Amino acid sequence: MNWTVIILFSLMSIGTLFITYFASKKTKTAGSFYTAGGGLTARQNGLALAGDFMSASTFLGLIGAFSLTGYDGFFLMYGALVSFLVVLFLVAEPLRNLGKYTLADMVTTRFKYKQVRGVTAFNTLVISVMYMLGQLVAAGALFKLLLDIPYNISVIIVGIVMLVFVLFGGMTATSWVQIIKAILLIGGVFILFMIVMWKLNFSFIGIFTEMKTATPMGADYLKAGIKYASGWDAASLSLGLILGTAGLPHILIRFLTVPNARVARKSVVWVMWIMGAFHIMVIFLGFGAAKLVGTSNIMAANPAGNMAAPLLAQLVGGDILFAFIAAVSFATILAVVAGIVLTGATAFSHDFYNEILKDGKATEKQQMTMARWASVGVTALAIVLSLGLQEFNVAFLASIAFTLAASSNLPVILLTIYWKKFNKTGAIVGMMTGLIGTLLLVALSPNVWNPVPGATIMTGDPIFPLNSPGIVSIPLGFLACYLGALFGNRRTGLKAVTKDDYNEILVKSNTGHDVKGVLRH
Amino acid sequence: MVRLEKNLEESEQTNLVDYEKIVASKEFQNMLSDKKKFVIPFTIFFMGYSLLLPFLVFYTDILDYPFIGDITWAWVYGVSITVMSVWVCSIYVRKSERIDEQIKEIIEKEGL
Repeated sequence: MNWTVIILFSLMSIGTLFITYFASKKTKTAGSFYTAGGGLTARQNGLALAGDFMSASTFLGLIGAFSLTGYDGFFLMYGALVSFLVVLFLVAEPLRNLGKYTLADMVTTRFKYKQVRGVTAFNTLVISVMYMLGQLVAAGALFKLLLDIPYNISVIIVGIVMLVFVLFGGMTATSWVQIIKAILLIGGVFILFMIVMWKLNFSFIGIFTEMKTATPMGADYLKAGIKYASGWDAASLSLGLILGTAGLPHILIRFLTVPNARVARKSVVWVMWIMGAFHIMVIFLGFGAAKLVGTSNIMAANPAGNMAAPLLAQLVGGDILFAFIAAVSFATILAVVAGIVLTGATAFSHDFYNEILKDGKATEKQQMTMARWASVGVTALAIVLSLGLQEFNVAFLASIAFTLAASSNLPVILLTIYWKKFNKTGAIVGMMTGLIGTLLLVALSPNVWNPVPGATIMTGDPIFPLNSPGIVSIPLGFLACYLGALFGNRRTGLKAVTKDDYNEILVKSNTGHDVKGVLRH
Repeated sequence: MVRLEKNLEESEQTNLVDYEKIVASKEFQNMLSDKKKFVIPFTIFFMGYSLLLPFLVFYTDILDYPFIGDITWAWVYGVSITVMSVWVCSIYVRKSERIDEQIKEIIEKEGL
């Protein structure tokens, strides 16, 4: 047991519970619970977005990936910043202008049908739970290594602490936990970076020469191909990551916490700078871990490299820095998981309960109660599923959530905003095809099938060759939207495409007209 | 109740605002085409720039040449995606502020 770690963990928990206490006083209405009343500033939302996005798999996973696979670390990393460009150019502003609390609100602004809302909300729940699994599995593995707490108990502890933020503080508490975590994470990484570079004499060019002999990979460490077999596999993964962010409900919902499109846009600028700085440091921290800690020690602690950053911190900064980095990892998992639970709970209570079951007539009190029960339900479901997934690779689970989002949500979001002939049938068919198609391709992929018995769940040759299905499933999602729309238009006759509806969307999404009406919550 | 009132307000607004007329107006069409003129080429550019990397490093050796010391062009390209992203982001902000002006004029003219 490392007492410094335990003390810092406790301080972190007490601090965040204080935030929750103050936030709970402000959380009186469903609107403030779901989206913090839409009143965050660009800097606050930018930091919260960065805090929401930089999950355990980003922070621990990327440093581990660079340390163990050298150049191939890029394929896991570079998509993140480009993905925010996709969000910025195509999604953030229309979403702020059209959406209220959830993604389904935005899609149903145009297609006012309960089925569309139901499918979108269902989609949000599936993607959110999938994303949460990766985080909870990471939490379990992390605490087992850091504190010697058994995996099952770790998962339950993280689940319960996070649930407290969500239940009492709603989006306000969740946002502040994310903001503080983002500052701690960037600060911690910067301190670690400075100490590591000081140990390496700040030789940014020389370190590359040293890396040629520092690992068992030799000079190959600096080249692509250690982890990914082909350019297609790497491109498929990158494509999923680039387009996934723009469809991830817990990221998109953050744009509904700001007052207008201009602030939404500015918050993306904050994310870009924070994550850009983070990414540059991550490369050198990966090098530092490989050189100073050593590949074999990193793999001994965790074969996927997830412990590279804490081990590096311990080596160069002793117990205090180790405890700090471990506590930041803890805060990271809490903040991200809280954001996802809130997204899932909002989809359930706002979309399913209030809009579909109660025709939008549920009282504030009923909605809040339902949102809190939904938070408990989503957390319980994710905890139960995570308990059975201990052996799964964390980065793999997260990448499925990204690809699901890119294949099922993104086509519908883009076509709703930008395609005049898009319709209800296209939206429903597209979302379901993207969702089921991605899951099916994953089930047929080398992640599940391996000729060596015991290597994966099933023994046999994979039918689908790529680890990451994005390059097939994303075009499939778009195609299904297109065909669904064609079929729907033919069946109901072109008159069903009410031109006015699209004109309304066009004006509202571009000008932000009516955003005040949307925000009056 | 709150929700009901809001629905009523919304339908009233929908009746009052002639969206078709606004979309057909010269100002709105200009704004849309100005927006498209930078959104479409830039989206193609940043998607192409980033998706080219895996193919260049796996199937060609043009990025294997040294840039400085043992840093190859492949590393420069990888890091440049970060720089490119921040740069494209700043261009977007500047251009969209100009679009904001056009939108403001439309809102004022149409009384939205």
